[in-house]
Amino acid sequence: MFLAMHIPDGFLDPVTAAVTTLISAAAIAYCFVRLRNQAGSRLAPLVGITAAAIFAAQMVNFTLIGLQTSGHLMGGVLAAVVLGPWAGAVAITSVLFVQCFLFADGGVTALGANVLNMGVIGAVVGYGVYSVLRRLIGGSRGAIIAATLASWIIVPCSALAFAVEMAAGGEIPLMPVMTLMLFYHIWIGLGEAVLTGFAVSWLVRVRPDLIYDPAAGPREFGRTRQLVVGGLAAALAIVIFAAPWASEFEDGLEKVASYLKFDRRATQLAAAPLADYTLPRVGAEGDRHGGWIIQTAGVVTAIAGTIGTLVTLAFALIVSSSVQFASRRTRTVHAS
Amino acid sequence: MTFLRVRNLSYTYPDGTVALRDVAFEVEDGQSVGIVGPNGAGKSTLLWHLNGLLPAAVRSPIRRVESNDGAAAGASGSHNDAEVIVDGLAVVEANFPAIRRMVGLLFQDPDDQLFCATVREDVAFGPVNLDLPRDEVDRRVAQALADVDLEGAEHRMPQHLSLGERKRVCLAGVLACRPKLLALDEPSGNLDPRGRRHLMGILSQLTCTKLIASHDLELILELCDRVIVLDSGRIQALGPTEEILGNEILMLAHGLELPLSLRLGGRITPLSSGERAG
Amino acid sequence: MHRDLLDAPGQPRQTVLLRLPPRAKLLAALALVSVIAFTPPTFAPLTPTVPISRVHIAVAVLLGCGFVAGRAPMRHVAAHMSVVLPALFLLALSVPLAHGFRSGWEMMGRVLVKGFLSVLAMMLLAHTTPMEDMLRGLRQLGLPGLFVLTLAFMYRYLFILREEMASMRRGWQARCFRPSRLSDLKGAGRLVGMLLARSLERAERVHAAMLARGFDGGIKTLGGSESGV
Repeated sequence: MFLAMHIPDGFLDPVTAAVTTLISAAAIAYCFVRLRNQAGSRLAPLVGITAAAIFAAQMVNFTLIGLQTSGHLMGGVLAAVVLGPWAGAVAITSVLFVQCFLFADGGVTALGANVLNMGVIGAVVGYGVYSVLRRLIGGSRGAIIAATLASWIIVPCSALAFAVEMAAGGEIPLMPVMTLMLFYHIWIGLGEAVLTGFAVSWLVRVRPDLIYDPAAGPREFGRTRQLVVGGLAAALAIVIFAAPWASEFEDGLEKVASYLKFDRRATQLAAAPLADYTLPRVGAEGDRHGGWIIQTAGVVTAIAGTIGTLVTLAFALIVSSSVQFASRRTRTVHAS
Repeated sequence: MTFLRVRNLSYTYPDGTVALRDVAFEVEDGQSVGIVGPNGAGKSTLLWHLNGLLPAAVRSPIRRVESNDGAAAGASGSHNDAEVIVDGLAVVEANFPAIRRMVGLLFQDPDDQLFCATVREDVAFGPVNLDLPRDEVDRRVAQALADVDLEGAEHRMPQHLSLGERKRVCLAGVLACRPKLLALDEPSGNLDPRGRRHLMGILSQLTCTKLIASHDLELILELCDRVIVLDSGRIQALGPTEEILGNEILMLAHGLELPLSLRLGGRITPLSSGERAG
Repeated sequence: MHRDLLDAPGQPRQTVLLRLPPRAKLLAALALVSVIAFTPPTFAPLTPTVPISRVHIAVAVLLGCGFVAGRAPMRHVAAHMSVVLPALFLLALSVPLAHGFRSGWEMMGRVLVKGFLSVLAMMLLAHTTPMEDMLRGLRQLGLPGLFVLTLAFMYRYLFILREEMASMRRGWQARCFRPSRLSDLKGAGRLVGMLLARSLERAERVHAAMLARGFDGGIKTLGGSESGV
């Protein structure tokens, strides 16, 4: 089974679909405006062929540790590392378009939301996080570590956006769906981070000239924006990791039933053995049910999130330290 | 009449590798000249200078990364007094549009050149970029496809074509621009014998000036009047084909060998048009 | 996930649906999917207790006719479905998990119906519209020419890069003696890096090929029957 983040048709309400479409259309239009001054006549083949490469790379799936499911590379941060934020976002958008129209993977009414989650958040915000981290860490290793961490951070961010979009319709409560999305995608984020880390490490070692160099063009992110992006990422990290402990979360859990579901009548009889596990009553339905499944999921998410960050950081440090660098080389390709 | 003149052409890649050293030669109108040499000799690099793709227009143009012990990014490009003159026009940026109309370059890998969704679109790419009117474009496409024995293939898609067919579509795409100079980079590379014969038949019918870089010495022997031996970026020899290719010592010294037909002592009979279709 | 789907059976069949103008087909698909996705199942339900809207039933029938008229290769469609549906199902599962099992199943059912019909509609579009027509239609609907050109390049090189990836992978697998999960990921990461590097180099060569035939950055079209390259 595949876990992918493409929202199909039927999950979003019309307003959310329209709003996300407008936002992402505006964002991608902005990307094109930024690109107009840069790549010139090579833009279409460069972005198109890279998009094809990302698509082909998504063939590579990895088994999530412990779960009987697999995910595949999303590629937002990777695209941005190689092409820069604007072209990277366009590349991911191209992938999403082809997937939607050719393979019915991802709904067409949800295309706006998918572009927002994976193109704008995945590539542009992902690049922002990457570039901030890269500058902080510095050196050639900075690129590898930054790319790894950025991929790891961005996947749950996209998942959060996904959850918000799904819940915006009013029918699905936010907190539980957020927990679920985070639960799955924190695992996927690990895989994405590891794959991206190895890929970037290879590039840095063999073809460092292919990594997008903002020095060659106008400075992508000024200081204020760096702070904003950094702050945003930090805030999101807090939400991800602290959410399970927030009291609101428990209220949200009220609405989530475990598979031990009971109707009203049976509740009276069966409630007793579960009394120790039930949560305080909320809502008109007054269901008493064991929310411990989701509560456990929430706890696991928080722990996984924390461990995951540490593991990812450690991994990134190890991988980058094994790469040997001479003085900065540029490589070119030669004719026969 | 001299159609192509090259003088003092040297080229260094951005990483410091010297690809061409003081290359100088001339090609007469209507002649077919072969360029032979070992791998890394600079054949493709030379061809890319003929229509201005090098030195400046592209970043890292041609295949295969080779290892290098990093000279810092030094001076790249050609010498200041380098001269490449095509039909009286210097190959400088101001003349690029006119030059690229005159020089048709066939790339080594047809997939690099066949980038449109259908055959028709791809062959039409050149004429469309020449701002020709619609009916003229259609005429040229039809003519070019006929010249390469692919009439009726307009609506086929590149991924469904064989390698030989793709090479011929690329050739059609170049021919549709009616170039005066045709520069071919390994035209018979990876082709099966039938495809190769077919392509050679087509090439032998073309009357424009031709410059053919190839490892296929038999092809050079058959199609070219003169040949240039390029090794380590320098012209090592230049002269009539049979004389050069028949010089065993020269061939072996530059990573080549005698073509089989010369070793056997016979002469090649060019393909008749009846045999072209294979 | 898509590797099997790329082995699509060549050209779409020659039918009336194929010859419809692509802009109309795209708009029709968009309208149909919107109707599917945004019609609440409570609207004109089949019976008061069965929460399936008559609208959805009508759409399903319409799509069935479309598949017949378009002579879509049903085995291929079924194979495609078998890849898409599990993911849809898994995602739909999040609804009862989040919403509560009492009302959640019903909602999940609704979502599944919508998702399934939408996928069918898009598949019908994909099987009756070759990519160049699709791109032309998108261009006519207002997508910027540069973006459509990018999509055209992506589509053109998809197959080539997929083959490259597959052959690199085979080469790696042939030399991988002790596969472990981490070496799996490491090898995969390297393959991705290599593919990216090769693709970027190829993009340079393609750009050079475009320049060699007179491309100067302006996107010119043949007009009429081409996708805007």
